[in-house]
Amino acid sequence: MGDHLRIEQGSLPWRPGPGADLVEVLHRYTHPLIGVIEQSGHQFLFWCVVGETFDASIWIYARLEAGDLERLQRTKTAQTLADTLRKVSAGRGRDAVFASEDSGIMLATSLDDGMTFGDDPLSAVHALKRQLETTETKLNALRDTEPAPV
Amino acid sequence: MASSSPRWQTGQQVDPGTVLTQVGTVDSQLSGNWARHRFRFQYLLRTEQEETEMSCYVGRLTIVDAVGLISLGVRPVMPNDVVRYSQANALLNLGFSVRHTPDRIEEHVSITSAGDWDPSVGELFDGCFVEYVKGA
Repeated sequence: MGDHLRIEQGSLPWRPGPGADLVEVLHRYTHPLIGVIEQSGHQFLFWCVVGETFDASIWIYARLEAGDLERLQRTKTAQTLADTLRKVSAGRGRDAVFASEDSGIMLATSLDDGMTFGDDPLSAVHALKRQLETTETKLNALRDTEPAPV
Repeated sequence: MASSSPRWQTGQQVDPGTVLTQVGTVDSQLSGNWARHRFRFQYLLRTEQEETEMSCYVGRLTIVDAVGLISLGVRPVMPNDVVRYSQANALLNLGFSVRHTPDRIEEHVSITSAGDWDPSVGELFDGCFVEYVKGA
């Protein structure tokens, strides 16, 4: 599994895959926006980069090291939380997902250049767009191999 | 943002005279001679997404301040950011619970309904907001 989560389409962004348990909500607005999940004994930070109050949103996941969760839990203010998020996520954001209100996670992709909390989300948007184009190409190829209707 | 001595305790009822800010989005279109702005604010809880309370912020926050709180200060205001305002009294008079739930964001407020937050409750909630402000 390495630095990557196992993500399942249709899941909630804060419960993104099989056996992913929400361990800590660090920041919320009606629903979790930043927090920590655990999957197969590994902890991952998640944060919403676009669409906090919209019905479509983009989320990033970063594998945490031992002690990171405790560091995050010790923060008392928004500023210290943001500072600590930058430190523990530095270059580690390796998965991005696009989620909608009705369908949950619809699209997931890996990020070649690891993202850090506070980075411009545009790189994640571009990576998801590329993934969508790849999926579309594969679907078109499948469609082309279907037998013609009799 | 939060200070070392919190102004409010968790669970404390919000003073009826307090202005509340809810953050949302707006779709804007120029069509013919008309500018159309369609505001989108959450008014129903999504129980399937484990939502149990509606978040708002204490105070009449500018869009810049509200976006700063919701994003922990890491993203700028975008053209589709929008806020709307209510007074706690309007919600309390309709039976909503309006309580301070400060964490790292001291201004965080949780609004709940005594019963199920069904569409009729959502309409009452929505009707408590009377002023809308569009962003950049």
